[in-house]
Amino acid sequence: MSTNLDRNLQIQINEVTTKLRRRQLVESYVTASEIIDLLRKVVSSLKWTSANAVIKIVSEVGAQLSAAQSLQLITDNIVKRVICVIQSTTSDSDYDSDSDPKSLILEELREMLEEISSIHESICKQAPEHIHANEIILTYGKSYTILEFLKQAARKRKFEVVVVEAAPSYSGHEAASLLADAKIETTLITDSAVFAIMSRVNKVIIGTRAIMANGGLIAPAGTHLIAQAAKHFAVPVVVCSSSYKISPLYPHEYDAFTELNSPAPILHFDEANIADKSVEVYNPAYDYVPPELVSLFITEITSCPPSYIYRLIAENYQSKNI
Amino acid sequence: MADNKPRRPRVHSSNNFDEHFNSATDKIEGKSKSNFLQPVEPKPKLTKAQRREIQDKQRADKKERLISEGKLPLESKNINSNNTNSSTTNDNVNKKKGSKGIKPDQIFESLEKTKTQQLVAPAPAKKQVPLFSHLPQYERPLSHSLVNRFAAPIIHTSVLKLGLQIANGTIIGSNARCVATLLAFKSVIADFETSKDQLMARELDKSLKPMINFLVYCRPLAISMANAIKFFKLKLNSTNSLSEAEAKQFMYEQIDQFILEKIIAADKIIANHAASKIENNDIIVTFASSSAVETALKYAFEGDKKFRVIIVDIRQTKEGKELLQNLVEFGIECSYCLISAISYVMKVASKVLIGASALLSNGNAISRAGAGSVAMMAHAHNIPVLVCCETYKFCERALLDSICFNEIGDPEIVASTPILKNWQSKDNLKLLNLMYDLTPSQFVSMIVTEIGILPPTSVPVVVREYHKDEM
Repeated sequence: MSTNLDRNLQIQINEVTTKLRRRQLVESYVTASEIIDLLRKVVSSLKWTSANAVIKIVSEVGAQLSAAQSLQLITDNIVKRVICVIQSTTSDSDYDSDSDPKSLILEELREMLEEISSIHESICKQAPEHIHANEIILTYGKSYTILEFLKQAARKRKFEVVVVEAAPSYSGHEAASLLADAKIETTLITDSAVFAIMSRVNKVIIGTRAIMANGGLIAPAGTHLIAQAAKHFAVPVVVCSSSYKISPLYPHEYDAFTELNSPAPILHFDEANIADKSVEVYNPAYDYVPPELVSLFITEITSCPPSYIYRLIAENYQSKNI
Repeated sequence: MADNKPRRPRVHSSNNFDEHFNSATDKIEGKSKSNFLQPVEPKPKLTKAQRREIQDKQRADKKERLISEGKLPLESKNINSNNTNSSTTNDNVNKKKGSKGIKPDQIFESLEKTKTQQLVAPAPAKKQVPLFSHLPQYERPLSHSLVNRFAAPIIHTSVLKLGLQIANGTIIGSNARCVATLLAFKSVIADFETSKDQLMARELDKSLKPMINFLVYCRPLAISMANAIKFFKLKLNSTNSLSEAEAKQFMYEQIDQFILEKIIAADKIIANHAASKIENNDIIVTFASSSAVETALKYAFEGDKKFRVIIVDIRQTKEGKELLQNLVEFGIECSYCLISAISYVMKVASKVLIGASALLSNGNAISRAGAGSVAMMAHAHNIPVLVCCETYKFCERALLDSICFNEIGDPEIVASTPILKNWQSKDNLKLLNLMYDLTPSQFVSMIVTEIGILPPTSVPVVVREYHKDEM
């Protein structure tokens, strides 16, 4: 770090960086709150000199966080939003005559943090609008947002859920177990049965890791298969996500935003007698889903089709910043 | 009525029906002495309720009689004593939840019904996935000793062994199961002794029935097995004019010829055709394991073509891993992934080669669950899909989805993580393990068979022209 930050603060930044590197921050809303919190502390510890100086420091912290987990786009998104907030508060008002700009910024960040805790409520409030009685809903793997969404809908509607297990992470197992505990009729199927069962599914509701600027998704591996099958059977695909997952980046390559995980869960080295030959085993973590396959985005701000995402980006990330 | 006029034959109008009914029953019981000359005592008029009671009682008696004779299934239709409308006939048909297609008492004919009922515990109805409740639910195969104790005199040991091997997954794949079945039948024929003055064909047919039912009980028959058994029975019926020894010899030859022509030689011809479609620098994607595809890849490799294979596998079976091992040992450059990575892999693929368990007459293919997804992704990326399938697997059925006809596998295989250890106790949770999948014909670019490379629309033509002679 080129600037001198308070030593305690530096320790805290390093802590969050380590958590990111170790993949200990799994759920997106937890990640988002931690990062906003951290940036709030950074801004509050600084002496206010000029907006640009503060922005520079925040960018440096952001760079350090992004380097820890390069595909965690949420980190980048939040940093960009904070910078946007700083710019908009200092350019709107004339800070020579006005009150302390730093307190305004901190106020905004505190609001942002509060919003994070109520994001799921706002998304789930829309649940009964989109699910009718006796529907069969398909979901993929485990997403905290989707689980809350379905539980909220189950309070008002009676429907069935088919959960796809999402090998090799098997996150679908936990999701099915939680949904069954919430008294929702759940069926767990293997990835191979998706095409077979899709003809009887009424809606696909999935979560995502990130939403790209063109409305495409970066979602857990296997989501593209689900979305494509849904298109073949004309089943609408609904994506529930919070708005801080919307990234201003474009997916220039299909594998630009995915990483390959360890092949051990797929083919353990003692499972096939191929030790002396070279066999590539692919275990991609994420898939890119093109925007044509998505019917609707449900965010806490609004429900919109993929073609509207560029407006949300313009609102949240001013063009000067991108 | 005390005249001597002969009684005119009565017209059975509804008004008089009840009296007729009653007089008829009286005759049966020998009470009435009515003849033309005697006066008929007026029968007491019964109320509607009393008459209905008598009818219901007679129906129940008849049902019991038929069950004890083994002619009616035990989980029987609901007799609705209050029926006044036709909707209850629909109820009768729908009430067969949880019953298997083949009843156990047909399998173990010589045993008491009670014993056999205890052997089979039907799947609890609440754990059935409603969409698939019309299919036979998965039941754990019987343990070896149980089967031995009860079935030994009726079911030949080789069929017993085959059934257990198929049930626990030692023999998988339609070709393997088909060949194993025919070879088991060969041993059955070898040990079969016709009683004097009887036709071997008829007796063998009768004694094969419980064996085939046993195989179905272990695992529902694949369409290839069903076709092979049909062929076997056809040939068996043509041995009526031969002596026993000649008939046996004839059957051995026919079975051998079938296996050689329809499976082994067919695979070689298919491999040649498919290998001719593989070019240098191809990246071939294949799904799970198919013997025809494996042979094709090996032929292409021997023909000095430089290509790479990506094996897309499902996590439930070991088939894909065995194929990987075979191909790697052969020297082919291979990669491996699960079906969730299909999107990642399809971007670089140039061709898709899959096998099929059966081909339907509308051009749809039935194969291992997941093949439909692979074909769909390939189609979305404009990649040609070649289905390698022998003609004996063609059948005249037509199906439009993977739900009307499928096989349900062991749900415990799905529960592979510790989270689902107690899934049975969760009321709202069901596990589904589908074995088969329907690949729509629009995703199939061509079907490679031993009679040539065909479009999917040619399947009914093949069924008509080739099967009517030989099957």
